[in-house]
Parts: sequence; structure tokens; C-alpha cells
Amino acid sequence: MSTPSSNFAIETAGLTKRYGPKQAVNDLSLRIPRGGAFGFIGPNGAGKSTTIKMLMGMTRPSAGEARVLGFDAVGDAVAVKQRVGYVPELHYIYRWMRVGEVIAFCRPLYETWNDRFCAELLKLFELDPNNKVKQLSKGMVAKLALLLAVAHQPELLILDEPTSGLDPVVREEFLDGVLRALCERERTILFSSHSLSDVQRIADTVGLIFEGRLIDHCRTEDLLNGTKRIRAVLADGCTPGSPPEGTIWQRVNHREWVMTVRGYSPSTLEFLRAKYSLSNLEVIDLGLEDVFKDLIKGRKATA
Amino acid sequence: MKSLLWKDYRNNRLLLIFGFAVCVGPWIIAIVRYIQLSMKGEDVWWGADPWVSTFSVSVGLSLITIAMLGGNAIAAERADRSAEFLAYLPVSRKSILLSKALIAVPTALVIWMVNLVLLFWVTPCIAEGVSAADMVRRPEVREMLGVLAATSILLLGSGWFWSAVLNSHGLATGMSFFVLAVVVLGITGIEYGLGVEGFFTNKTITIVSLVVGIGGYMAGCGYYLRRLEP
Repeated sequence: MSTPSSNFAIETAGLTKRYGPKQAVNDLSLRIPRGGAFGFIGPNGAGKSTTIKMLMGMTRPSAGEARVLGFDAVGDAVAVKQRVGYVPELHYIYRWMRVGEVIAFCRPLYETWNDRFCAELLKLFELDPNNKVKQLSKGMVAKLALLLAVAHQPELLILDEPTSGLDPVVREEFLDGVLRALCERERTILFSSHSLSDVQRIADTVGLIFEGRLIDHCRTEDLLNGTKRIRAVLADGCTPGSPPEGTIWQRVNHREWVMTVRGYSPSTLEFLRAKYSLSNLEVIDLGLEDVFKDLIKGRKATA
Repeated sequence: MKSLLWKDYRNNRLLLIFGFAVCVGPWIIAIVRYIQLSMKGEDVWWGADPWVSTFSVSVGLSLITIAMLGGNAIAAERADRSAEFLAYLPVSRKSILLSKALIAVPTALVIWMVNLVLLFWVTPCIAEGVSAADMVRRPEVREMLGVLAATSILLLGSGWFWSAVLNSHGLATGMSFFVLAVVVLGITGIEYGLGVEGFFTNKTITIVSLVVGIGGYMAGCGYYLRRLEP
């Protein structure tokens, strides 16, 4: 199978999608290198699913272009789908088919379908080929969707809120399946989810989208190491003024001043100590979920 | 293509069974009735008329099947959203359309073939005094064949168009009958408005139906191929 040479699994330039006056995705330029896992995060309606649909050639961009594994997402949609595994949030697999029939239906459509791997996943996910799709629970349908997405050993796996509505046990099994797929061979994963603990567990890099714009794109580790929450208690008579550089969100409650700083370093504390009279100063590590919430709250406050 | 054909066959299986029953049912009733009366020695069903009527009832009822074949083609998968599943599989729009057409068009042709074979071959074999040549020579039979064939094409083609545009297969099927009503009432309305009743012949209706049907089919295909969304 010939593949256009590109070091990037996904490349978008000025990607825009308008629905009437509403800009669902606004001038999105993104480059995701091959290999590794990319977490695509953002609040509801931020434009994640619309972006993914444009990447999958399921909706036409209003402006800009998207290339997936070097192929044009619109013009070479079939070539893209041949190399990409996709798990959407909602699964609309033919309900009247049996699990075995769904597999038999999809198998001839892919040039790289791996029967051995498919059989392993059937066993791992405890899917009975004789069960009808309409008889399966939501979790089992999600597992079937993941099986269909990875059994042809795609170069890129796109997961759009795949664990939404799944119970913790099934979610864990699903993520194990994703990690297994990731380890099976050099593969890129784009993982969009509201479950930021899942994203933190899987993603090497994250992109944060808000109101259709990409507002941050960096390594997960760098984001977490460089973003800290600082809790300062001001001395009597001291009032908060300008926060340290890189503050993305802050809240003042009487003498307590809490701020989240992106690009944190020891000089941040020196700045606060030098400028304000403080009775206490504390640095708190944050998880991806807290960083995300503070970034969004800060954006909303400044909007 | 094979798996798409299998999927489309399974998607339409109930409709195909319904279509077969509606197509063959009137003939079975007519033949059983004929045999029953013949055994009683009654010569009620002499001549071609009852068989031509059976043909028109069978094809007339089959028009519902043909309209549903067109209306279901694309919209049925949109209605249950399985089109979204199909949309992310590596199949081209052309293959999807071809597979749907390979189920719908041959089925409509088979319905017609079954009726024509029963009318022109089986009937003369079992009914005394009826010959295929006699029936073909009758102008009303030829005219009826033309109108029903054109109506079939109109219903299939316009159903196909609405199926490509709408999200509801029921509505798409209904719209194909609406288009038929517009064509027939439009032509008679023009005649009435101009005060020239009887000016347009069945031939006119046949030609308009053919144009609308074939045009609808092509427009539906074009719309579906250009549309990126499922």
C-alpha cells in the first residue's frame, strides 16, 4: 500500500467550519507527528467532533485544508479511511447484524484486515459472534466499535469521546484495548475525551480547543510540570494586584489569593514575595483536569 | 462490493418479501379462481380481460413496492443513522450507490418480468381461448403497459431523488407518490385551464413520467455523490 511521504499523521492549515453565522472550527492549524498519542480536549461545543469529522472526510471544511497521513481528507477520503480506525461517541453499527456479520461485512473493505488480531480482540472483549448488535450493552457495542477500528491495523486511530457513558469497569477494559492497539505497532492515536484522567493516562501531547480555536498544544508532561496552582495568603492590609506572568486563572477570597500559572518557575514565587506581603505561600501540583478547568475558566473570564 | 450488496439485500429483505407477495398474490388468486370455476364447468373467465385486469392489479400494487425501493434506498440508512457507520468505512460513494441500484432496479425489473411472463406466457397456457398475440394486438393493453411502465420509472426515480435528499424513507416514498400526483394533475389541470380536455394523450403522461423518473434518478445520484455528509 503506497503512502504519501509525510512526517505528520495529521496536518491542518486554517481549517474552518461554519454553520451559518456560527464558527464551529476557526482557523485551526495543527500538526501531529506520526507515532504517539495526542489528546484532543475542550469543553462541549468547542469544535472537537467537527474537527474529527473533517479529518474523516465526513463533513466539508468551509475553508482551509486537512491532510491525514499525507492524504487530502476530502479528496482522498477512501484512502484515508483505509488507513484510519475511527471510534465515534455514538455507535450506529447495523443493529440487525450479528457481531460475526458486522465483522464479515467490514473485513473485505480493508486491505490490511488481520484475522488473527480480530480473533484475539473478540476473545479479549468477550464478544460472542452470534449475538445481534441490538442485544449488546452500550459497553459491548463500544468494544465492538474499537475492534472494528483496530482489526485492520490502522496507522492512525481516532477516538472521539469513546468512553462516554461507559461504566468504570468497561471503560478500563476499553482503555486497555486502546493501549494494546497502541503497543501492537508504531501507531498514532488521536484521543478526544471529557474524561481527562483517561487522556492524561494515554496522551503524550495535548491540544486544547476552545470556541473553535486551538488555544494550547504541547507535551502533556510539559503542561503538567509547567502549570501550578499557587495559594497565597496575604498579610493584613495587603491587597492583590497584578498576578505573575503566565497566570491563566485567579480567584481572591478575602486574604486568600489562588492563581494558576502556566510556565511556572521558582521566579514566580520570588515575584510574589517581592511584590506582596505574604503570610503563607503554597504551590500545588495539578492534574490535567484541573489545568483544563482553570484554562477554560480563565478564558471565559477574559472573554 | 459483495459485502455492500449483501448488506443492501438484508436491509431490503422484508420489502423484497412484501414485493414478491404483492406481485404474485393477485395471480395466485386469479389462477385458483379460474381452476375452481373450470372444475365447476362455469365458463365465466373466457377471454383475455380478467387476465389483463389481474396484470394491472398486480403491477398497480407493485407500484407501492417500486416506490418504496426508491424511497428506502438512501434515506432508510439515514433514518436509523447506520449511514454514519457506513460513512467512516473505506467505501466510495459510487460503490454505495451502485450496490443500492443493483438491488432496487433489478427488483423492479423482476416484478415486471414476472408479470409479463404470467400475462403473455403462463396465462395462454392455462386459459382456453387466450393467446399472447391477441393480447398484444389490443391497443388498450399496449397503452396500459406503457403508462404503468412509465409510472414505475417515475416512482422509482423520484423516490430515489427524495431518498437522497431527505432523512426519512417514509417521507421519501410519500413524496414519490406526490410527484406522480403533480404530474397527472398538472397535465389534466393544464388541459382544463386551456379548455382543451383530451388534448394530451396517455403518451404525453408516459413521456413526462419517463423524463421525471429518469431525471429524478440522475439528480438523486448527483446530489448523493456531491454530498459529503452521510
